Amino acid sequence: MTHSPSLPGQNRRAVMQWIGGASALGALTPLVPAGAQTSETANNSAAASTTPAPRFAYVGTYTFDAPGGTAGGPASKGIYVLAMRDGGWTPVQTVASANPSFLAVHPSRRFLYAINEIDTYQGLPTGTAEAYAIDANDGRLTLLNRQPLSLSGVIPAHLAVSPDGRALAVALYGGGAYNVLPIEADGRLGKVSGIEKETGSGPDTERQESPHPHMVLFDASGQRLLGTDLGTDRINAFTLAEGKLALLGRTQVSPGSGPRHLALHPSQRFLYLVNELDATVASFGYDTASGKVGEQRQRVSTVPEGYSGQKSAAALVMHPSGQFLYATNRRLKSDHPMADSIAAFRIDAGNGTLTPLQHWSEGLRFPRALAMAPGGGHLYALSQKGDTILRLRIDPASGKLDQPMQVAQVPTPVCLVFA
Amino acid sequence: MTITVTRQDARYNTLKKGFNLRWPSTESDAASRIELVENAGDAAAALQRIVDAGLRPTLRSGGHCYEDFVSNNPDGAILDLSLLAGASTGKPDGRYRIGPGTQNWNGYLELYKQSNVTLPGGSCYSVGAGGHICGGGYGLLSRLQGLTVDWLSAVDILTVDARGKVVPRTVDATREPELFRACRGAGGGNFGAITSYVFDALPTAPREVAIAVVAFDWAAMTPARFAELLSIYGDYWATRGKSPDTWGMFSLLKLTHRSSGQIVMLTQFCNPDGTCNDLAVLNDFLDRFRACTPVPLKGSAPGVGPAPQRGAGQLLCAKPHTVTRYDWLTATQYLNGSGENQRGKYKSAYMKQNFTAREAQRIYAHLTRTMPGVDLSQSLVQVDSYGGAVNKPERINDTAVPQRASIMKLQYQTYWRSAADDAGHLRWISDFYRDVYGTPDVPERYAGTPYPGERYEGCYINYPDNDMLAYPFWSQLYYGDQGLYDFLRKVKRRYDPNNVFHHAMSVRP
Repeated sequence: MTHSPSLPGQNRRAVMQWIGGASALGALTPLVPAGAQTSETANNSAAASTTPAPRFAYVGTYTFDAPGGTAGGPASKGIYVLAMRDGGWTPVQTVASANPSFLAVHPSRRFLYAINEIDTYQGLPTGTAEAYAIDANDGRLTLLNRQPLSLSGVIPAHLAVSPDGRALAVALYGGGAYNVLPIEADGRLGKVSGIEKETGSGPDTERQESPHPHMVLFDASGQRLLGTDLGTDRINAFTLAEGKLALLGRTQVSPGSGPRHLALHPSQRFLYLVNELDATVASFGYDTASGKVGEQRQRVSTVPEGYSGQKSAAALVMHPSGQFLYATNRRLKSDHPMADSIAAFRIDAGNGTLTPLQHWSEGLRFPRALAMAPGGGHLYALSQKGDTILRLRIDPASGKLDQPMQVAQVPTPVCLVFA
Repeated sequence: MTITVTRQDARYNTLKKGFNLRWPSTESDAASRIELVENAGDAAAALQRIVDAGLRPTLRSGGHCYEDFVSNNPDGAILDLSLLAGASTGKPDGRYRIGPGTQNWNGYLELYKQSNVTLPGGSCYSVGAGGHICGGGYGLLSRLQGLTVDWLSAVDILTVDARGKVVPRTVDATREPELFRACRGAGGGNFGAITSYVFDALPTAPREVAIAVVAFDWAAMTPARFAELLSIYGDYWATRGKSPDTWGMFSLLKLTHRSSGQIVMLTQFCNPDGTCNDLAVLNDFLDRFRACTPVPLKGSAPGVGPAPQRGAGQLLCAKPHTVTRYDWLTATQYLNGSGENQRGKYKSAYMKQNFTAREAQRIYAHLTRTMPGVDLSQSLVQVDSYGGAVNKPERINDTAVPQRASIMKLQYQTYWRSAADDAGHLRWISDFYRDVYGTPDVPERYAGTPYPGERYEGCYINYPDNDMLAYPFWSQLYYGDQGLYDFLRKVKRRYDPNNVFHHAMSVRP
C-alpha cells in the first residue's frame, strides 16, 4: 500500500508537483489516450488540491494460486472498481488481470498501476506491471500498457509511484530484486530502467532461502526508496536518480523476523515495520535529511499474550494523525480466536513508542490488507478468505475500532486504493 | 588484473556484443560494463563486486551464444572469461586443464602439440570452451570418442552462496558430485562461473583423416530425389553406422536453401586406430549416394574455411566427389570455419530414426520456399551424423546430456545482416521447424517440437532457441522427461539459491 501519498499534506504537494510537470509538457497532451481527458482531468486535479473525497475504490485480488488460499467461492477475475456510497459500494467495472495483488494510484489520480504476481510472461520467467487510465467521471479503467519486469523478476509483490509521478518502483518477491520503470507523461510504463538484484538469506530455511523484497515505500523527499526484504531480514534504503537505484544503506533486523511492510510516521521521524514471520511491529528512527534508518527502538507483538499457533502478520497502516498504527494477523495453523485479527497501537507523539490498544477479530478471515480511509475516519480490512471488505470506525480520540460494516463483497481481495 | 570496460571505453561497442549480432537488441538492453578477468582469483573478486553492487552477471567465454543470454543484460555486467585461455597439459599431476576462454582451435593446437591428444569438441575455431563444454560440446570426433563432457573429470567453478558470497569450488565425481554432474551438459550461465575444466585423460589425436566433399545440384533436385538423398543418409546412420568400425566417420549434410545452388555433404573419416589405412567404410558410404547424382563442389561449403593450400593433402579420388587425405591437424584447421559475425537464428533436433517421407517432403518445401525480399541463400539445415561412442547409456546417469540414442542431430540455421530482415528470417525458420515436427510424426500435444519419444530426442541446449519457451514443456525438450530437469533444479537451488546466474533458458530455481 502506498502510504505516503495517502497522507493529506504530502498528497497535496505531490499533486501540485505533477500539475507543474504536466503543464510544462503541454506539447505531449495529444499523446494521452481517449478517455483520460487530459485538460479536464488536470483541472479536476487542480481542484483535488483542495482535497475532494475520492469517489472510487479499486480492489486488487488474487485470481489464482493465492498464497494462503481463498474462500473457495468463484475465482476473482482481476481488478474490481466500485463506486463508494454511504451504506455500501456499488460495482462499476471488473477488469481482467492476472493476480493484480497490489495497486497504486498516480499522484495525479489519472492513472492506476498494478503488479501482476506471476512467474511467467510470454514464456519468460518474469512478472509484469500494468498501467491503466482512470476515467475521472465514472472511475472506469482502460489498460494503457503492460510491461515485463526484469528477467527472473518473478512474483512481484508490491509497487509504489514516486511522489513526482515519474517512476514506478516494484518489489520482486520471487525474483529477489527491485525494479524501476519510468512513467511516461501519458501514464504508460516504459521499459525497466533500473534493476537492483539482491542476495542473502535468513534462518527460516523454508521462507528465507533467498531474498524476498516485499514492499517499496518512497519517503517524502521522493528521491529515496525504502524496501523490506522478508528473505534477508533487512530494510534497504536506495536513492533513485535518473531511473536507477543506488544502495544507500541496509538495516539488519531481528533474524528470522521476516520484514514485510513499512509505514512512515507523518513527521517522517519514525519508521514502523511489520514482521510477518514473528508477528511483531518494530520501530526505528528515520533521518529525513540523510535517508538513514536508525537502530531498532522497540519491538512489540501483533498477537495477544498467550497466543498459540503459527504467526503470520501482514498489513501495516498509519493513521493520518500519526497517533495510531494498525497491523493484521492471518490464521495459519492456529486455533486461537485472535489468529485473524487487527492489532491497534497508540503512538507516542514525542518518541514514537507503541502501546497496544486493541485486538479486533470480528468479521475477519485472513486479512491480508488494510486501507485507511483518506480522512482517517475509517479503516478498511480485506479478508482474503472471506471475500469481504469490512469498514471499521476509528474512534478519533482513542484510536479504537468499532461499528463494523461490510461495504463490499469481492473475491479474494488483497489490496484497496482510492481515486 | 581485471579490466573494466564501461561505455566511455573505446572497446565498449565491440565488447558489448558477441558472435550473433542480434544482441544486445537495443542500446538499453546492453550491459553497462564488461569485466575482463585474467585469472580465477580476478574472476572471483570481480564476481563478488558485481553481486555486491546488485548487478546481474552474465558469463562470456567465446561469445558464441546463439540467444540473448549474455549480451542482453540491461545495465548489468558481463563477466568476460575469454582471457582465462589456454590448455595446460600433463604437468605436474598428469591432468589436462582447459581455461573457459580457450577457443576450440587454439585448444586443439596446444593439446596436440604438447601431448598428441585432443578433445572431441566442435569444429568452429572461435567457440570458447566455457559454454561449449558445459553444454555437452560435440564435434567431428564424437562418434569415435563421445562428448567432451564424457571425458570431463573435474571443474573449478565460482558459485554464489546463500549469503551472497562467492565460493570457489573444485567439484568432481566425489566432491559435490551433483554440481559436477550438472556441469556435464546442462549448459552455461546456470550455476556459476567455470574457471577451469580438468581432464584426467584425453583421447589420442588421429594421425590422419580423409575428407570427402560431395555436392548435389539443386537444379536437378526433384522432391523424389531429395527424399531419396535423405533416406540414404538416414538409413546409413540407423543401420551400418552403428557398427564401431564406422565410428571414425562423421558427416555433415548441409541441406541448403535452393537459392544457394548446391547441397553439400562433407565427411571426415578415419579408422578407429586414427589412420586412413583402410577406406572401405568411407567408400561404401559414399557409393550409396551415386543414385543421387553427386557432382563436384562449386565454391565453398557453408561454414567451412578456405581450402588448405595445394599440397597440404593427398587427393585420393576426384570424381564425382573429392576425397583428400590430410594430416588430422591440417584437416581440423580446414574445417574450423565459424562463419562471419552476423545475425542468426538457430533450432535443433535430435533424431533417433531415419527421415520419414513426410519429413523429407516438408524439408524440401521449406528449402524451396521463396519469400519476397528475404534472401535465404545462407539458410540451411545441417544434418550431422551422431551416435557411436556418444550413445553409451551409462552416460545418462553421470552427465547432464540425456540424448544417448540419436543417430542424427539437426541444426536449423539462417543468417542475415540487417535488422530490417529479422522478421522474414525468423518467420521462415519457425514455419519450417513447426511444419517438420507437426502431426502425425509428433503427438498432437507436442506438435511443433521434436519431443522426446520414438522418433526424436528433443533439442540441444548449446543450440538454444527461445521460441521453445512458448511450450510449457520446454525443459523436457532440452533435458528429457526422465527426471534430469528436476535434478538440475535441485542443484540450482542448492548452489545458486539467489538465482544470480539466470537467463531466458536457465534452470529455474
